[in-house]
Amino acid sequence: MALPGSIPVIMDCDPGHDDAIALVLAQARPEIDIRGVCTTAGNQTIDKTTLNARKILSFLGNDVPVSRGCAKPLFRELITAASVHGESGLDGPALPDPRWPESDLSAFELMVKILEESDVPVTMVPTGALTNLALLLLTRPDLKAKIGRISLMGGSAVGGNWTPSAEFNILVDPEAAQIVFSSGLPITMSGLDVTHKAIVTADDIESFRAIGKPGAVMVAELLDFFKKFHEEYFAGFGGSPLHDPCAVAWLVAPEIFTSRKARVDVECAGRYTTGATVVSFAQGVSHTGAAGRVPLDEANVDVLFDVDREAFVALLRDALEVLD
Amino acid sequence: MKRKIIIDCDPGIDDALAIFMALASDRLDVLGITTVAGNVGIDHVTRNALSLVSLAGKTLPVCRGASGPFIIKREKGGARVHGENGVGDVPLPPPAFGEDSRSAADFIHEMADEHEGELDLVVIGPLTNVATALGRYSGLTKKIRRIIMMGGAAGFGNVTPAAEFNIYADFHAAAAVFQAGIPIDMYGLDVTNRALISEDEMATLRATGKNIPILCCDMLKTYADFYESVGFSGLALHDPFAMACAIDESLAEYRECYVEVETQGTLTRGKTVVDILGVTGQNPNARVAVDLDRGRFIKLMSDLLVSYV
Repeated sequence: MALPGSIPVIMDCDPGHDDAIALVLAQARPEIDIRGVCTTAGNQTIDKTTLNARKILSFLGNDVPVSRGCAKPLFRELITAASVHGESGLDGPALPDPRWPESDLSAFELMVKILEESDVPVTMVPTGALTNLALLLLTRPDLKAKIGRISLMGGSAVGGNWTPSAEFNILVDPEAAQIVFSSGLPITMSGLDVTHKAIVTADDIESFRAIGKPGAVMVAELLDFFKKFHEEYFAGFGGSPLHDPCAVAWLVAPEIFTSRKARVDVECAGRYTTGATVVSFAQGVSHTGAAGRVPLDEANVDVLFDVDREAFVALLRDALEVLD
Repeated sequence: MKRKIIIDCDPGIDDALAIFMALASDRLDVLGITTVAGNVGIDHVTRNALSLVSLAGKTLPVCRGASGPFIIKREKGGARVHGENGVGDVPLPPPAFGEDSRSAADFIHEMADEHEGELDLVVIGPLTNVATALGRYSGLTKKIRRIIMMGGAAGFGNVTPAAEFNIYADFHAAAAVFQAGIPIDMYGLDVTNRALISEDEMATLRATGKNIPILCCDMLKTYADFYESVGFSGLALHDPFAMACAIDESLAEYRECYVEVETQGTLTRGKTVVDILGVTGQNPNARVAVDLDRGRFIKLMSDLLVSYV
């Protein structure tokens, strides 16, 4: 449960196996106070991701509002990732039906309510397409003052996972992503550059299962399913990249990550590159030799590049051990 | 057997080094040089090519190519990088012979006919000439064995965050070349930004007291000043690395990938979109260099430059 002085967050997600594990991690960490959960379409349709979010929150015994977000991207047709997450969007463990109903508020309304009522800045944690957050920033710019930071999973400096240039969450709604990236709010981007290093191996999964508690076993079963896709298509990874939990892990353990300040904009008009996050470093020389090309005051994002994998897995394991 | 090549280039400081390397190598048979506007304008690059070949003590067909890209004119040239004359404002002696009357595209076509299945193009400038030749002569794709290309990047660009100069300078032409079906070896910034020469290695070249190594070092001085001005620590030898690999391909490690060139994006035009993870399901059309043996590259280059009397 949340401690005094903890970080208030709004989770904005499309569970999704790694979204679900991000929720588990956020729930387990005392520094994080989940004020509400919004859903977005992406990994599966909005009906499925909303149901999945409610199931996970119920499983965790957390009765915070779960609010349904936009059914489709701002301007585009929805693409989903059934090949990764299965037909339900959360194939694998047999989760009980939700104990609580869906919130009467839409995701937009819930975000507004939480931000208006909070007397401290709230951290937004989007781990899906950025449709809901873009709507909020466009239509209630006054509430930017209530947002302390956005820690998002999405994008990549080099290479995509759904197309050669685009990461899935950004590709689903590139215009929304550009609205968020150009909002002026401080952003931490857990893109593929770091999440492809946040690997859980088959041995890690067994160590989670061996904890024996229901939450740990459930996460192991999520990962059993998630593993199948990555073994088939991305065998070179040596495990499954835990994309979304990075956005939460950075909030509680930034010291296990390395980052660089950069200007990030989203390609919305490419023939092959739509959804690419175009990253321009602010200063110095990157690990790939790309010279910094934008002044520091034009940098809008802290781009994460590396993570201490062992420490990241230990963080998850510890979370599963304390979870009731 | 020597590898038969045409060098398609825009000299260009690093092009100049690559030309000297090729003309000194006993592994390459340089059939001719075609020029293309890029680092500087077509008059400068053509004259530079003639002077460089003359300095190397050779006479070769030097054929003038495109004076600009297919469709979209470049907004900025390479003068800042390569000096006003294209070779670091180092004065070159006048050419000892004149340019060939054939156009670059016609020369590529003639040589491909004459040496069908044996001709490799070493392309170290914008791809306008190659695309022009492919467009003009049907059947040419089957006659050219391979294209060795300095251009593009799987990772970051240099002229924009997403695009490398040679591709960006004529991205429509580059797109046409990648789609043509000719096998391509792509030496992009992923490796060439790491093909660095150190100050000590340059001092060693200079210490030979020989004309051509000293000339190369003089030209590289302009190049080094530019790189320093943009905060890049190290002198990247883009074109010489591609030429070195035309001589000895084992200097690089490769991944077979499907590559497309973005022609429409507002932020990414000219980006080589490299399908490293194989998410498109398309068959590879290029061998993309992903790693290099820097030490062996510098040795090969230095040995060739020093071999001139």
